[in-house]
Amino acid sequence: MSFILAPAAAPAESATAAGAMREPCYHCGEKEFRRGSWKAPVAGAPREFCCAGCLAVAEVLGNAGLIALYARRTEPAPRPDGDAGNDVAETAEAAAATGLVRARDDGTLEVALLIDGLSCGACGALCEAWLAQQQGVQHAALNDMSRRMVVRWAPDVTGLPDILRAVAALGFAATPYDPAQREQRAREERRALLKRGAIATLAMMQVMMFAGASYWSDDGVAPEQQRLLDWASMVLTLPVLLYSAAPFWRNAWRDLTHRRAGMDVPIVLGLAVALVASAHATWRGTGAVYYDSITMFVALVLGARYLELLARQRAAAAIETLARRQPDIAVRFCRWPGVAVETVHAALLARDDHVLVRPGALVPADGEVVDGRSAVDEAMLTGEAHGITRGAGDAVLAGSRNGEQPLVVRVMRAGADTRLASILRLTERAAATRPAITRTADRVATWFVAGVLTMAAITAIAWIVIEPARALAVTVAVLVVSCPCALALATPAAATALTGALARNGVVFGRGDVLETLARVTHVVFDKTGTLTRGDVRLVSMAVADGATRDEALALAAALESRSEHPLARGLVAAADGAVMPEVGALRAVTGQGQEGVTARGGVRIGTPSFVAAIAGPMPASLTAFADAAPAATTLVALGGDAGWQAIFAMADPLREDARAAVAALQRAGIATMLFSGDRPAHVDAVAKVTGIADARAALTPEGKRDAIDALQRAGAVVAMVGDGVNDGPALAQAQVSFALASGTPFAQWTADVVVLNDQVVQVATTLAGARRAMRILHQNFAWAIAYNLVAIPAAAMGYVSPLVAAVGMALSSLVVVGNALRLTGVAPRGDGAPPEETAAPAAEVAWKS
Amino acid sequence: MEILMLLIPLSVLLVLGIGALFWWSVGNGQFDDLDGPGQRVLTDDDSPPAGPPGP
Repeated sequence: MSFILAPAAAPAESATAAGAMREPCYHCGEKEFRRGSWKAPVAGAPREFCCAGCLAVAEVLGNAGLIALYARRTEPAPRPDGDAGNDVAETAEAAAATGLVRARDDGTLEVALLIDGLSCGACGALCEAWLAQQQGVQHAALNDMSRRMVVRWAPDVTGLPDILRAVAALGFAATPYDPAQREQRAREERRALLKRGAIATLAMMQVMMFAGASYWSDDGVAPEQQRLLDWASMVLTLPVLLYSAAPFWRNAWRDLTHRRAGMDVPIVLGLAVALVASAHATWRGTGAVYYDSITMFVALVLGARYLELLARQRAAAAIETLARRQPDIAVRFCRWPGVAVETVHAALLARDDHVLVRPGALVPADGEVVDGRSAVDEAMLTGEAHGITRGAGDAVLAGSRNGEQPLVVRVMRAGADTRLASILRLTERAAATRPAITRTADRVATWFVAGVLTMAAITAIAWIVIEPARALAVTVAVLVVSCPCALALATPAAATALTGALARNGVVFGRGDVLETLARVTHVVFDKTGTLTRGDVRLVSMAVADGATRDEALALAAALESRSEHPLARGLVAAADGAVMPEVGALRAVTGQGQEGVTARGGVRIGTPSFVAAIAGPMPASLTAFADAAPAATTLVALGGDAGWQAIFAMADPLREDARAAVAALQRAGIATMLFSGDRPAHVDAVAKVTGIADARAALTPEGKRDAIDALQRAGAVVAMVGDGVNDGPALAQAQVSFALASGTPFAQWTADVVVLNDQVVQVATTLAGARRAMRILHQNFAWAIAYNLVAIPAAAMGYVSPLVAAVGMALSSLVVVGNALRLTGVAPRGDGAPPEETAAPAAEVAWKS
Repeated sequence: MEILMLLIPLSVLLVLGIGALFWWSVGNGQFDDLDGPGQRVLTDDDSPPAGPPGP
């Protein structure tokens, strides 16, 4: 090991070099401390530390082979807080209790950490590497922008307290992610940029006024007055450069120390050259000054960035509003049905607890209403604007708001298992991955900037040879006029604007990098049950035999089916809706046939017509007519017994209202629609016919669906699969993009790329249209950027563009691309997707009336 | 035109003063919500805000 500790070194040794005395703490950069107490060699050179904490961190880094941080970092590390590691157990417990720690399917646990004190990219990379080295940690990924780290670990090897302690050992403070803190930071970011922009704009106006004097006066300004104007301009320009332009300096410095050419490097270079030249001219009282160009440039570029920031934060806010609905407090009945209640943290609720939801309060967990009747507002979860009346037996979701009346709810899923919690995790995961196009744009921007710098150098040399007096102005113009904004600013802005707009429509991305694939989709494959249809079988129509009544027949059917879990049985029980059921004894299920039992009037059977006919005799003519007339997509359920035939029920799974609109919108957009189902051909064909899908395949196994998609992909198709259940898993995974409806199983949601929260199938079309539009806008931006830079940079290099014109040109170009990207903010509902209202109505008419 | 010698520095001071004022007002949260206060004036409701939901 190359890293050896030598604390409490001899005083003689510490006094060896006077220069070393002035050296700040090698870890945290602290200047004032007692030298000589804490010393250790780092990478072969002796280094001083201010305290045991800093030394300990350096030791940790040394042992982990991570001391390269010290060479790469751009800012000193935060000083480790000695107490940081003490309350980790408490923090970890709270995180687990509040659902921040999530169990994954493969048995690992996952948490999102907010890491304070990460000031540069190197620190972030260090944190990742260090955590990945910890035993039991399987995955640690940091999002530089949000300073958020997703950590995944095996619970039998390590725990959250150990992970928090590991972060603390590096001197960073890690908090399990809390949205409220993020909002605070967003506001500060907004205020800071507003301040910088406002100062720059004010200064710009006044400097332009001073400059105007010399631009527009006929006989020139008297020299001494011109000098005064120059000095005044300089006084106003300095705060712009030092305060307003500070982010540019910081970013450029960070990029340069990483040997990277970011978009701020030419900006800063241009500003610096212009300032030095202007200050020199002002001091000497002769020569050109560029204060007007400098201030205008900074003000306009900050304006473009403010727009971009607002769009980014608006998009984030659409998702944050969800997070704020996470309820904390629950009122639990101590011993239901007793009336005594206690207040507990919502995360501590368990299945089958009974909670009281007061009027106006948030529902603390997913559950079933046991008592009471009230309008519940689920707008945040499903986009449904109106309160929906919920009574006994109805399901309510955590995060929805209770209306007028108190409700008693039996808890089904609490804490991290609620629908709300799973949606939040999904969006967090999506935020941690970036679209491939923004990563590409970043890389291209780097090359672009390197090219601009080279170009500027060549220009400078050429003009020094041709006409030295103009060399400076021309070089500044080249540096300033180049505009990489389409790459570095507008691309992320477009991606986030689209995400935000879709989130408001009830569509969330489970992965951030699906945008390009979504835009290229050529085939959309639907599952039938639960996707195009509602997924619950209902009674469509019925016929009764002579001598039987409708209500009696339904009550008897419900009594026979009451114990069965078959979808048909549940549909019948629901249709009877609480009718008084007759006594039925000796209930027995006959697999694939139906149910039989014994009543006061002899044996009765419910099930397939042949099953009933076996004891009730041939079907009467009135019922046969009904059975023959029933549409192909319905399932017939017969009821009869020793006393004769009773009734025939036609059962069907009703189509979603917007299924037809969704298919129509996709077909209008030139996307092929297909229906893959495991159901019987008659049912599948009927759905295909009503929705207008030409290519429907029935009786497919889950593997069959996957193979069919694979065959499509071999033929060059980009396939999006829309499904809901576990049996779609292989198909969802095989398709390039998968959509899940929120009413589907949690499994489908966790693997899906896109989740439709409000169960509107038509949002699939909207999302695809939005993605296509986003890519189109990005391509427009790229085209504009290429055209602009191809014209502007050579023109500037040849001396046709003054620095002032260059500043205006560049700033306007960034406004153009950012403004174009922000058109996506309102994309989703209308755009070239399907206006749902327009086509939904006819679809509803055709929907399975039969 | 000697008056310019006075007016120009004066204008610089004025800009710096306005800048400082603006800087303070942003920090004070005056620009955080541009719609809310205007709307609030219009709601003619003097009753105290609703308390936490009762039992």
